[in-house]
Amino acid sequence: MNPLVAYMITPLLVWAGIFGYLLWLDMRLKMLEKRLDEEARQ
Amino acid sequence: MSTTTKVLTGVWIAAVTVAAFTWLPPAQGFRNPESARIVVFHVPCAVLTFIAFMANALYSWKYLRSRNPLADAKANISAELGMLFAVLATVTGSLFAMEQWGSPWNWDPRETSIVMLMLVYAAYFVLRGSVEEKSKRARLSAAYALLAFPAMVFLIWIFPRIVESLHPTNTLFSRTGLDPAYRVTLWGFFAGLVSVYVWMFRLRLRVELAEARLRERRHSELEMEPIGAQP
Amino acid sequence: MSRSSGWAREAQAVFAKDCLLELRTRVALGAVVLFAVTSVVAAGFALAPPSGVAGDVKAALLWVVIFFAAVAGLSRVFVVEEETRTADALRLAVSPVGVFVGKLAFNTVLMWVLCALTVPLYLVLLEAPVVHWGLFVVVTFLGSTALACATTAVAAIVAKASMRGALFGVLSFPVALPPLLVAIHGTKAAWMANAGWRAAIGDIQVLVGFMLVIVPASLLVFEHIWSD
Repeated sequence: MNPLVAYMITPLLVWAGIFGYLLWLDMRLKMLEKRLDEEARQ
Repeated sequence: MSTTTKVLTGVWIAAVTVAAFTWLPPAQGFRNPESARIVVFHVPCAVLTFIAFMANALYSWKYLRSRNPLADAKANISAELGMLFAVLATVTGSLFAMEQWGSPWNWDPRETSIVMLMLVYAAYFVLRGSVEEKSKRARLSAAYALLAFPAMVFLIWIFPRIVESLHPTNTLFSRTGLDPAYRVTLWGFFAGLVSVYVWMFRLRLRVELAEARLRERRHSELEMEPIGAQP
Repeated sequence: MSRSSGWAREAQAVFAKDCLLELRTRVALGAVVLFAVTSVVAAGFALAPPSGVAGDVKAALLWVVIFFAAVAGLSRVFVVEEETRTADALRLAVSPVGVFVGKLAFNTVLMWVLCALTVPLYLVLLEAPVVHWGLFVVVTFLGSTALACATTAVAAIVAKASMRGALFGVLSFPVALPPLLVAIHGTKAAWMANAGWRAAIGDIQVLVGFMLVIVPASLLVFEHIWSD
């Protein structure tokens, strides 16, 4: 593998892992809150 | 966490990343001096893995003392975050190993021990999955976390020191082990990651609480249904 | 009678009760020893001398056999109490410390019997190249004791959960890893002419240290596992 690619890709991977997780959590939280709202209204 | 803190965290991490590629000099003594920059991203992940699993043990202990369900939720979340950073440390580490030692996987003691570590906490999640009752699940998993803790400490601190390792030991905390520029960048990235960790932890806790509230509501609805409704 | 000898006496009673039960039924011993003997014979058949398998592979295999045999039987002490519903009576009559120490003693003796029966068989069938006999005996003794120490509290956890058989293997593997890795390392040293005591002294220290940590840790959490 091209060494340049190897060390350019590492921070990207860390970012992708962390922000992927954050995004997923955020989406999940929004979904849950929406469902809670709906059920509260019923 | 306020929006300002989040934005600052993002800017900080971006700045450190840029510094790692421009300001940081290539390190001598590496097969490819440029690839030493990976260390800046790889080591903080490994340190955070340890901190997260420490937190898991602490919250487990807290749960056993107080029997507060919140402590159990926090223990679970800590283990989850520990897993995430363990995966990140492993992936960045094996990229580095490919550059430095020529193969992505060498069964180096530190590589072995992080895989074992992931197995320890995978077993923790299996245990959590296999007990239905909530308080019992919290109790058993807290007890297991505290039993796994000595194994974790052994795998991180003792095992790599008694078996020949390709990794350096004692560089991180000794005065002479690390070039000053590297030390600043590495701990700078670490500080950014800690901030993100806190952010993730809080967000995950809110998800957990929302789920619990939803479950509770479902539960009370079920109880209101007439008993003979199902044939 | 002082308090400290109170739990010792209780532990002794639990140990004696379990031994008597085991002598009558021979379930745990049968499971453990049959498992070990079967795998030793299978391994011996597959790796018979002309195959030229290296000593360190045999050292690792020996401990894999011992560990999985332990997994087959060591959870029995707690599972049997839950199955026959004698756990509640035991909870009323005996303090948690007494129960744990008694069960730990039983499991430790079970491991010793297992090793005494199968390790010689393994050495003969696989022609293991033992050089430093004293070291080998010490490592086997400490390693098997450490495995019992590591897995007894896990057995108590498993007895409370569902899917006990599968879960015990999954849960005890991580906790038993440190002694397992070190015992393999020490056994290799005992099988190599140029290694011996000097190479294995760290392993022995870690094994003893591990037991000194895991037993108090188990005692600390056992109360919370055991009481409902």
